[in-house]
Amino acid sequence: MIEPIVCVKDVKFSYPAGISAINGVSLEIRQGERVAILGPNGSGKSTLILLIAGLLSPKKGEITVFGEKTTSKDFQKFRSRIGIVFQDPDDQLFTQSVIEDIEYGPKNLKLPEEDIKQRSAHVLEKMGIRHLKDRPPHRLSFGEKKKVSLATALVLKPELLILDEPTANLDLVSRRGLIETLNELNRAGTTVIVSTHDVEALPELADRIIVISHGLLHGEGETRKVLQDAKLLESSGLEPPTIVKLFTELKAQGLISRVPITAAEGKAELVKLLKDHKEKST
Amino acid sequence: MGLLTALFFAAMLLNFPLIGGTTAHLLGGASIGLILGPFAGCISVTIILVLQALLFGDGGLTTLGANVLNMGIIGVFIPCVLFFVMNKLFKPKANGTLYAMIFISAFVGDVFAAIAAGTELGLSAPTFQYGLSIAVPVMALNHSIIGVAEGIVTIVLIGTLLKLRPDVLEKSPILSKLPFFQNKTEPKEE
Amino acid sequence: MKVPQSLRDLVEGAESLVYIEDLSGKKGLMQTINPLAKLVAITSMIVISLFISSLSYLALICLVPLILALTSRIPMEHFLSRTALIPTFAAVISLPVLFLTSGQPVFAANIGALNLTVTMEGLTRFLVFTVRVWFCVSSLTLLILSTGFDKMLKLLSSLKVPPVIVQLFSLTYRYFFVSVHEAQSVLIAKEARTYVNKKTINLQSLKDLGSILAALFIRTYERSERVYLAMKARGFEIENSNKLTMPALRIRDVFFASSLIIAFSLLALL
Repeated sequence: MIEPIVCVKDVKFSYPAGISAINGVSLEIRQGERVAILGPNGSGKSTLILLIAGLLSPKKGEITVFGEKTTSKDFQKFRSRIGIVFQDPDDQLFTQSVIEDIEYGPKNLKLPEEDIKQRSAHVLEKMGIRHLKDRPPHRLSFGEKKKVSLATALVLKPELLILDEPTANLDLVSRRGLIETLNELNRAGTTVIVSTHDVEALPELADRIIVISHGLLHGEGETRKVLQDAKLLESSGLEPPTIVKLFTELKAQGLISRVPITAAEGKAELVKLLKDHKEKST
Repeated sequence: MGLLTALFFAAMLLNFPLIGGTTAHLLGGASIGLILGPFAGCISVTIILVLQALLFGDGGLTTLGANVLNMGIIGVFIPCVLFFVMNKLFKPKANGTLYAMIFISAFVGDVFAAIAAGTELGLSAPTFQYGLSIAVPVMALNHSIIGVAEGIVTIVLIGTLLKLRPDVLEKSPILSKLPFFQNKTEPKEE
Repeated sequence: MKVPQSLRDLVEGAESLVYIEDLSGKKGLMQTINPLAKLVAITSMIVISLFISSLSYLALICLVPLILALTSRIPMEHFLSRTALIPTFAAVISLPVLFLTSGQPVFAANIGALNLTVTMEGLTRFLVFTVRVWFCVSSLTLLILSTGFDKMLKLLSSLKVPPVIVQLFSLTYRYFFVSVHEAQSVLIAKEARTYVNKKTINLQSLKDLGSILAALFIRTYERSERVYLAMKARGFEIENSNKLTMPALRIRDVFFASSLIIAFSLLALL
């Protein structure tokens, strides 16, 4: 049994203007997991993410990350082990050039100069953004800004990586690249939490899904189970992926027995169906 | 901690008077002073003026000192002081009184900033015979029209904030002294 | 559809900033000089120019910013138009000097009852004043156009300006662009739903402006909260704001500044 590294216990949170965002949520995330927090706009998933990162403090309940309460005074020390990427890269990039932004975290940690240089060179290379090094953030495209945002978190070599709507507004090629990077990090041992409403990207992004709606936990489970659970998704203000909807109808007509969740599985299923059909007719 | 956080907010807010204020020839000093308090407001306006002078190339650099005095110090402090005094005198309960106070603060702030600018113009060019007697009334008259506009804009701005994000105004050193913020029981936080 | 004036100003402002960034990124003479050396050289040049009162010497020193601009690959047309406004204004303001200084008349005109006489002394004073203003403005412009904003921040930092203030400048500059973008979309959205074309300023238009400002204010405020969190997430603490480091002075920087200062001092002493 692997120890949970994030433990959320009956947490409530409301914003100063009086809007309540989280109305009592409990969950656990274990080391090395790929977890998605799924919910429609305004469901409180961004808030939940900020709470887990220890950037907001719960009004009720408690959150422990790496065994330390996020409200404790010593939590600042643990912050470098958590990387967070905000939804809007304009929030994340606040300095005058890409390299300054990447070095911002390591400099605050007072790492040795040599180490900072080496880490930032590595991360620039890895994300394929070396040519952007000296550019000011306002002269980058949205996709470039997203990559730089991720780089500013990765340079700290976090054990826990949290991303808010990482695939939102990205073109398909950039999205593919991002998902590959995240999965590679996960294979190397990083725990990855993403918040999203992008059900289409989920099969490749997460092994487990936590469904949030109106600040409450609506359901949780293995990716395949949750995506096939149309009732759960619809009651939370979401819809299953197109491929699931399509094959659910085929299944209802008795044509297939299994509902796939990715295009590749869908293709295999169709090929089998057509082959069977051909055999029958000949 | 509180002060510095406020300063950070100030940095972001700088954009907003840049947009609404100086480019539209409104001064914005009253709103920024009332929301941020006189000191942070003064720093904010100064930073805007420096940036404008440096980057927009409209020559503000040569008159930077005077501009900081007129808009950053006079234009921010006078509305704050006026508002503070009026708040002590009238203890506004109704929105009408509050709006009138905001209007007067913004209007008087504008006119005073203009009078200061007029005085400087008059004093700096004695040989050219546009003495104080011309510069001051011209600037004051001109800016009392702008002052009316500024007063109305400031009322709507603060009125809207009061409705949508009262918590922002509650942090303000000036506006938090309003009776209805004072009477409210402090919400328990942390 | 007409884009509001204030918005056009903003967009132009943002464009001019981008233009400066391009200029300061070029590989010319001034761009390669250390900002501190540039600042010292240009400040001294301006101060010393105040002691030069001969018109011919003043004209001579005006060549310096021109040559430096040329060697820094700053387009002449842009440089001249950018530096023309204030000297023109100064010239208009000092026009009366032409007629009010007593001395040798060079030109006289009678318009009705007005008897206007231009004197030699008046003409000299007028020209000295205008040329000096141009020299100061063009030197400063040169400094700004050849130094990117990031280098200016480093300059401020090396001049012992508190890190908090430097950070404020930095954030303001960074989010200026974001705000222009947001203001643009808000104003265009408003324009798209405005069907009556009113020319005069009335109560309603002021109220509209107020509520647009409030909307923008709340957006920036909320962004500031998010940016603050993003900074905190990467270890930002007010007490240990990073200091920006400036590239070290090299021999050529010292040579650049000292040769200009010596040349100007000699000219002033002559």
